[in-house]
Amino acid sequence: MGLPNVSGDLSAEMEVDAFRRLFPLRFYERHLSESIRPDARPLGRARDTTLALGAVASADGSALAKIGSTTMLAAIKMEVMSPSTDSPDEGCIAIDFHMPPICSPIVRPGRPVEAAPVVSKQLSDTILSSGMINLKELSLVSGKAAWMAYLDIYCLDADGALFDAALLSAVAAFSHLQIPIVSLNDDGKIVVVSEEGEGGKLDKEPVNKEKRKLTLRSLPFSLTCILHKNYILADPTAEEESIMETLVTVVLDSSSRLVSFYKPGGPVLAYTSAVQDCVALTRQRVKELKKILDEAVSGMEID
Amino acid sequence: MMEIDRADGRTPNQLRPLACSRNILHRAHGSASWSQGNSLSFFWFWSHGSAGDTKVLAAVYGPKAGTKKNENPEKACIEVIWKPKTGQIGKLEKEYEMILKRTLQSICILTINPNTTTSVIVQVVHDDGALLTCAINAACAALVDAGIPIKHLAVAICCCLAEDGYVILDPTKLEEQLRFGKVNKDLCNTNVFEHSGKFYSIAENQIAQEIDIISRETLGNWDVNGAWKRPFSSHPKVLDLQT
Repeated sequence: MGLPNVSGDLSAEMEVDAFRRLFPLRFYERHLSESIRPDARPLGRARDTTLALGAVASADGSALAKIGSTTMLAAIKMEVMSPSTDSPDEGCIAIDFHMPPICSPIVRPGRPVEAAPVVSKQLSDTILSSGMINLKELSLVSGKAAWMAYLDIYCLDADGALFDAALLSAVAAFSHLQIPIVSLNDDGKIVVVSEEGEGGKLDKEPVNKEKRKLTLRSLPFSLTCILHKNYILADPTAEEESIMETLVTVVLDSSSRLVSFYKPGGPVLAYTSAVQDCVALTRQRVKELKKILDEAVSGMEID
Repeated sequence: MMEIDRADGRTPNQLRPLACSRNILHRAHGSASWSQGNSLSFFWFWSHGSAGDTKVLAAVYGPKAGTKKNENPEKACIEVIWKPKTGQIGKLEKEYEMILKRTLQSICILTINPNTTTSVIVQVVHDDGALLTCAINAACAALVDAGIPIKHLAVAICCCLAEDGYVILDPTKLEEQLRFGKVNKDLCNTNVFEHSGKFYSIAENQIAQEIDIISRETLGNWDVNGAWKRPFSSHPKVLDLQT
C-alpha cells in the first residue's frame, strides 16, 4: 500500500476497512459531503431507541434504555432516612453513574474511567435542576423521616451519546418508580411493609396506604450533537466521538424549554446558527423520546 | 434592563477587579495566578485573598516525552490536574479537569510537538464564585508563560441567569448559591469591552459584535478585519503580563 495521493481514488488502492482505520477523518468526510454517515443515517437522525421498564425486579423502579448499541440500566432503591435540618420536609436523591469494564474495550478493571464522574455530575445537575421531581413528595413525616432515592445507572455498552441514554433511562426509571408502603412501629421507626404478610402485626396504620408513583413534571430529554466544520451530526457513535471531538449536549424539558446547554471546549466553535440548529434537532428528538416513553409506560400499566 | 441590587454594589454588568501575575513558581516551566475580586494591594494578592476574591494558581510542566495510553501519539497531549482548596477530589473536580482539558487542547497547536504531554496543574487558592472561569484564565496565562505554542488566548467569563431572566456577570459565591440558583456557565458567557474607541460585546458561542454603548444596539459583527474568526469570551482587560 503506497501513500495515496490526495486526489486519487483511494478505494482502489486499499480496502475500505483499512482506510477507515488509517484515515478515519477522511473516511467520515467523504460520507459527510454526501450528507450521510457510514451507518446510512442522515446527519440529523438519532439511532433507534428502545425502552424497557421494570428490568430489575428487586428495585423499586428500573428501566433499560438502548439508543443504537448504547445500553444503560437504571435502578432506583428507596430507603428511609432522617431529613436534614434546613429542609425538614424534603427527601433526597443520590445519583451515580457507573461504567463497568463490560461496557467498552477502553475501560479496564481497576482503572477509573475519565468519563464516568463527568456524566454522573452532569446527570445530577440536570435531573435536580430540571425540576422533574418535587422533593417534598419524598417526605414521610416532616422533620423525622423522608425517602432517600438511590439512582444507580450502569452502562452496559458504551457506544457514544452516553449522557442521552443515561438521562433517558433515569427518567424512565422515575416514571416506573413505585414508592413502597411503610408504617410506623412502636419505637417511632418507619418500617417497610412487606408484600406477603397482610395479617401481620401492624401497630399503626401504614403511613401510605398503597404504592404510589411520583408525579413528574417537565421530564428532561437530551440530544448530543457533534460539530465538525459546518456539519452537525446528531447522536454520535463512539467512533464518531473519538474522531470529531466537539460535543454539544442540549437538554430540553417536555415543554421545550431549555434546561441545559453543555459544550465542554473542543476544537470547533459554536456560532449562533449552530446553537440554534442543535436546539432545533433536540426539539424534534424530544417529541420522539416522549412518544417512546409514553408507549413504554402505558405498556406497563396494561399488565 | 431592570436594575438589581447586588450585595457588593456592582451593577449587573460589572466585573470584579482582575489581577494576573506570572512566573510565580520558579520550578515550574510556566506559572500564573489569576484573581477576580477585591485585591486591595499587592500584599493582599500574595495572602489568602480577602473574602470577596476568587484566586487560582496554575502551573505548567512540559512538554514531557511520551503520551498516555489512550491518547493519540501523533499529537501533543494536555493533561489537567485540578486541586481543590479543601477536601478530596470528587466528581466536580473531574468535570472541571475534563472541561479545561478540552478547552486548552482546542487552543494549543497540537501538531508542533507530537508524542509529548504537557501537564497543567490548577490549584484553587480561594473560591468566591466564577471558579472555572478564573481557572481557564489562569491556565491560559500559565501556558503563555511556559511558552507552549498556542493559536490564541482563551478567556472566560461567568454569568448568572436569574429566574426572572436577567443576567449578571461575574457572580460571587453567594450570588451563585442563594439568589440565583445554579450558575449556567455554558449557556451565556458574555462580556462587553472597549477597543480603539469602539465597544464590542462578546459571547462564548459567537463572534464578537460591535455595539453602540449608549443605545446598546448591535452594529454588526467584528472579526478584527478577518483575523479573528473565533468567539472569545472573557475580560478583555487581561492585564499586562509583566515581562
